[in-house]
Amino acid sequence: MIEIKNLTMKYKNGKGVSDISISVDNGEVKGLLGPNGAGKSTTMRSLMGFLKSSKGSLTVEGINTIENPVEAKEIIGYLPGDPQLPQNLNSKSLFKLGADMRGQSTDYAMELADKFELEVDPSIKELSKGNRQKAAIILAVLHKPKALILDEPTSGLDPFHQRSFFEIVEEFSNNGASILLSSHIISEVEKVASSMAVLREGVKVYDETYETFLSKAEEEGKDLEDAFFAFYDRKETNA
Amino acid sequence: MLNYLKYMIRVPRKFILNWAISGGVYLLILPLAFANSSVESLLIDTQREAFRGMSENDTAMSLLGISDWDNVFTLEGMVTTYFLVPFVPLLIGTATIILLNKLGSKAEEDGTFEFVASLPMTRSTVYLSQAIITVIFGLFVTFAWTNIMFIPIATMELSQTLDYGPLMKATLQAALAGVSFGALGFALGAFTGKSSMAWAFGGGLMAFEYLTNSLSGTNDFFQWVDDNISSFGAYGNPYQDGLVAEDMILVIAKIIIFIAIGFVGFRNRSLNLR
Repeated sequence: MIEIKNLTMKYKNGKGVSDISISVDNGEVKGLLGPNGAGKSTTMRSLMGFLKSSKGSLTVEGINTIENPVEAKEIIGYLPGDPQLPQNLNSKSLFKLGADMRGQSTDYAMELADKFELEVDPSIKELSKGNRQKAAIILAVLHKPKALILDEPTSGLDPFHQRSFFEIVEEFSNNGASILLSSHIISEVEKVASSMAVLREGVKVYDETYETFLSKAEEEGKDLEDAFFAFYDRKETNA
Repeated sequence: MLNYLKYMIRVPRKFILNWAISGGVYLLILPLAFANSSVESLLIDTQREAFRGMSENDTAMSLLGISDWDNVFTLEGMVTTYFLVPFVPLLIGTATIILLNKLGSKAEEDGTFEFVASLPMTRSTVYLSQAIITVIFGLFVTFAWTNIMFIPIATMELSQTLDYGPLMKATLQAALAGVSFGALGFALGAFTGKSSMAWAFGGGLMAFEYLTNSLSGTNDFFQWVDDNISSFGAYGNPYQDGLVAEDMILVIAKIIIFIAIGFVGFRNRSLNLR
């Protein structure tokens, strides 16, 4: 279970997130939605312990990610929003490093590379943006983590490999992993998420199950995207 | 930690090898200039006479680290008083800042560090590993240079020669001086997460100590800095006198203090991710 309680994290320019509480149960996929600059990456980086001025309680499977970063990172798979990998190494050696650091083998990573049709021998700089994203996704999940924190995971993936990615997410969810997946595209979240939280300007403005959101949209006779923006606009005015 | 150390060597391996080998190969020019008395006469003696006028300019001599014009045109003089100081500390300090920026503060700025930060390691482990690389890199490159340079000295009959043991002592002292500047650059990069700070402090200290060393005879303050805290001032003449404990302790203490400062900052700050 991923549990963020009363997270506040402010940058020097005053931006950041305020008093955010989000929980993701085991087996649940929660979409974290919001436009650019809403605080999605800040929330995820705080949860990973990258941002030290965070206040609040941040736990994964009961492990405080700030106080026990090693234990927490053993069971977390993290995909950054704009993954940058060392250009001169190849995917295979990065998978080996990620696996060795956690005392695992690279078998699962190689299986996923096959699934994604990723060549593991060329160096990262020789890969296209989409293939670099695939390598980063595999690095995030190769140790079969109990919690996944995925920041805009499908960025750069073609529709075919997006489908493969969502299959992996579903597989992890079925195996009981808690998954927090950020996006600014609701149709992407719709494919896998059972619940969604919406951030705006660093504040959580919505946190419900996907069904609740959907039934509200149907009541108002709106399609998903319109309902999302309408809801969002209304909250925006109230905020 | 071992896996991360391996990663830190593998990522910049071309950079490390380039610095270690190309510098060493370039320095072969020194012993080869003393290949025999006729080459020495052609390359060395003519240079000595051509630039003799410079020996009358104390400031230029100080800036080049030359105290005895005739001695610098011997193999021993060139290597131990002109090459090992000031150039080795300046080059090693610069190379160490570049390398540790690639692995640390610059990696934070360009985003590659986010991958490292997501691995199951404490900040202390990450920092300590980087500190180890700082020291090992500086020592490795300097010893590579002097050992490559020593190959013709050991294998050819040269008009002048150097003793290996004293040369290695001089190499160690020069390498530690360079590492002391690199360590400050690394530490301030880690403290702030900004590569510009690594250059400002590491490069700044290097420039300051170089100038105080060069101009120490002109000013009491510079003289005091050179005598008491400068890594250049601590060089002495290890080729002739061996390693002096006081000088070694000063440079090692500086490295430890700088690394400790960076450790405090790195543990307690947010990563400077883009």
